[in-house]
Amino acid sequence: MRLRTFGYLFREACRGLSRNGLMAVAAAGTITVSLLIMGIFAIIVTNLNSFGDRLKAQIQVRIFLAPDVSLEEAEGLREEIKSFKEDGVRRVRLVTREEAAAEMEKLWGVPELFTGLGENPLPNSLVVELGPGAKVERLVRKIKTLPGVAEIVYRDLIRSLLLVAQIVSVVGVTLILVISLGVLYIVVNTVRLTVFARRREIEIMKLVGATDWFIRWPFVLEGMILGLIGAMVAAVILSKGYYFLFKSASQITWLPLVPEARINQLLLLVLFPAGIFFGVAGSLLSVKRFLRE
Amino acid sequence: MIQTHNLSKVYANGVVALANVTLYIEKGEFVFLVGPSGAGKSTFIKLVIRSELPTEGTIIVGRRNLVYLRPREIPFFRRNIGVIFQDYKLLPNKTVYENVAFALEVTEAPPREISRQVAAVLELVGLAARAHVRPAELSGGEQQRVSLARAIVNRPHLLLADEPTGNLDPDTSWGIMDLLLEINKRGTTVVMATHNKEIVNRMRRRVIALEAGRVVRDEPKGVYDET
Repeated sequence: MRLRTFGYLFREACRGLSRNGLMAVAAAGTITVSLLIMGIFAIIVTNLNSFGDRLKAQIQVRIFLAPDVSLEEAEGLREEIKSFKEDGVRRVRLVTREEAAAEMEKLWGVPELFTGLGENPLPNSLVVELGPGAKVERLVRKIKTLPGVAEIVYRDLIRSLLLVAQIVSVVGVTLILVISLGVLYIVVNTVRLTVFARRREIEIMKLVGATDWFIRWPFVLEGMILGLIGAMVAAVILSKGYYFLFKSASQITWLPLVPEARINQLLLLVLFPAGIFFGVAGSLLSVKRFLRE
Repeated sequence: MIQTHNLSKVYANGVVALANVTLYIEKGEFVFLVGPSGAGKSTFIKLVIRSELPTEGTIIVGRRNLVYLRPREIPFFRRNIGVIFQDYKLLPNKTVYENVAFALEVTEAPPREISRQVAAVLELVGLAARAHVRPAELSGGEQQRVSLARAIVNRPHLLLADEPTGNLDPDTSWGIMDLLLEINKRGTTVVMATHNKEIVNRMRRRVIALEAGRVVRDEPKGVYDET
């Protein structure tokens, strides 16, 4: 397509929008409301993921080694586990039976607790500290396969919380997808009304030899503009809304929200492409029927 | 220009619009297509512009066999054909100039070429002075002249007119006929479907009469009906 023709089609799209002002407002409004709902879910999912990451960072995985594992072998295991960086391993510490006993005596406040027993029943262990985004389950599965590992312990409450966060995230993403389909349906029907109002124009265009793309382009551009407007309005509302939420939630230390800058980036990356997609797909699907007639 | 062989069109609801029509219309001819409503005149025009496909038979327009025309070739094929209708089919929100220029915009013609050709064709139909008004401000005859200008601005080889005088008074109708004759004189083949007995009888051109989808009469210098 020539640049000159694109200019003509763009002018036609702007004219189309101004001529069908009310319908354009309705379509942009539909996209805005839909993107608001999607954006809210996206913000919730992002915060849950971040919350989950923070929880994971607090997890310490403790690996109790079999009694027959020597200190040299334990050191070897420590090095091996330390190499599982892709699973989020940050640091691995070797706690010898003696150190463990001392720790416990200190914790319970009973010195020489094990001296009385005559024997130290505690095994050597490794303490694994994890970083954000750690793949706990995968790491535990991996460690279990290593020789000399007797038992692995990590906090169950955190595991349950993580599971809840994970379920909510999956539900959120599924809802976003379902909402997307619903949005597309609503947008198609709204845009179809604007296209229906101009079916005569399409008929005449076909009659004088316009190609299907020449006919589609103004509608596609209109859809794009409407999608962008819808995304912009939704992004501003959500960004302002999140700003106030972030400010008022900053006092609650156990609920650390994702910083605004990251949410704004997310809104930019999610809402604008989604808005353009809905606008363009809605237009294409709506025009399709009239092109076939 | 137009050649059909055993051309038939049966619609999905079972209505037989055309049955075994075999015709040959030469380049440069002026042909009237007559017959009662539902005789198949409009279907014939729809088949010629490849808005419909025949159920059976062949139809060749120019050198193209329309049965084998691929969908993406249709727009380019239509640029060689001008069409006018009883209801003018003008875009109400565009000016006279824009309505005519529209047919050239779709061909991606250069702007200078568009303004030159539109001005010339508006001059021909006598509407140069009204280039910047909208169709609603024009009379029926003027609107049909705009429609005609749009149909011929691409300099088509073939002009199809489906009841072009159907909504016009006799004087205005003759104005349109004069223009059609002028266009025909310049070499464009004209096929006009009409109910206007007076025009057909006075012009004495080739008349093809259709009835229930069949050609019942084809006369070189015919009249509207035999009686």
